[in-house]
Amino acid sequence: MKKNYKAQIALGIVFMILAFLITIQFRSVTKNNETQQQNNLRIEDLLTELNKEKEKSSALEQQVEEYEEDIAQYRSKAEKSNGDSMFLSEQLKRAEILAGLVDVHGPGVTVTLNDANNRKDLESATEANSTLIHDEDIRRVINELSAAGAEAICVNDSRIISTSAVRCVGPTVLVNDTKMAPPYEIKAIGKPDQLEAALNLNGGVIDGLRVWGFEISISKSDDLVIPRYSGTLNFRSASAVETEKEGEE
Amino acid sequence: MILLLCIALGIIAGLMLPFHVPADYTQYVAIIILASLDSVFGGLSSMSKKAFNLQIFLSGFIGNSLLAALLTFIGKKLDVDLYLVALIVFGTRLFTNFSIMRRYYLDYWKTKLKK
Repeated sequence: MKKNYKAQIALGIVFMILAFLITIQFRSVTKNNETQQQNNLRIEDLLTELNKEKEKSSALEQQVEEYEEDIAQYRSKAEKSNGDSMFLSEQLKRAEILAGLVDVHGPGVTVTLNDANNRKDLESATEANSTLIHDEDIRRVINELSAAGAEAICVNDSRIISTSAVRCVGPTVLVNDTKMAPPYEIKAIGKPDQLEAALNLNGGVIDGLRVWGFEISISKSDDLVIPRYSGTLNFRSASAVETEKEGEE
Repeated sequence: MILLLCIALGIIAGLMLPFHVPADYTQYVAIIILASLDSVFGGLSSMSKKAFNLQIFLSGFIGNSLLAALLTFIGKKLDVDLYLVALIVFGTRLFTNFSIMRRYYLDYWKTKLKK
């Protein structure tokens, strides 16, 4: 009888553990499933939100186009009306070209940069890294073109303006918030011969890049089209300094 | 009576405790549950045969649970579903033990009814 009692207690303890484990497992599994479902829900929510935002942005883009048409109409009317506004309109055109807000065309050069092709015989990651075009390389070409008198520059149709940045983001290069992959086509409007000569200087930019084995080609062209800057320009911090000319002189 | 009380106690403890098993470890708990279920059924069937041995019962309970958990762990590391081994063994034994108990109690009731 005593032995049976012991057995009962032992069985009881095991039963208790079993019941405990089963309940806790039941709770955990239900809870885990719930959290997983929530995660899935969250992804779906984000997707619908993204789609909504995309629709909104395309609608806004359309609006921008409409407003631009309006502006063009107003401008043509103003030009017709009298001489003063024609002068102003000329000034505005100049300013817009400078700011990169209008498409421009003219003679210039096209520089195409592509990653080096000899990747097979590379062993280390650093070596592989050196065969890729970096933001630094693009910046150097842009800088050289500007120095040589280029009046408008774009990288893969993204216009370089005064606030443009060229930087590396992971494996891609970001120009004006536009992600880009090689080949990079840099177009510049200016005197073609002058631009080409500046790039091809002995020990110059292109020489420096050729060392890495990049595929580089420069072609001159009589009529290049460089698109306008597609983003928005907002000056939140900067405002013009008002000077009284008479007082200073 | 003691058994029912213990089961109730276990369920209450399981419901009251504010912690839960992370998703990665539910498999281990599941296999341990199976091991303890096997032990319980083994214990019950050996009780019905009047051959219950406390030491064998307890060592079986602890050992089986640990071995099953170990197999699951190794299986996860080797990317082979080794927990299936424990699953099949325990499952088969569960049914065997159940059939032994069934036979015993059927005979028990038959003889009682004849009387």
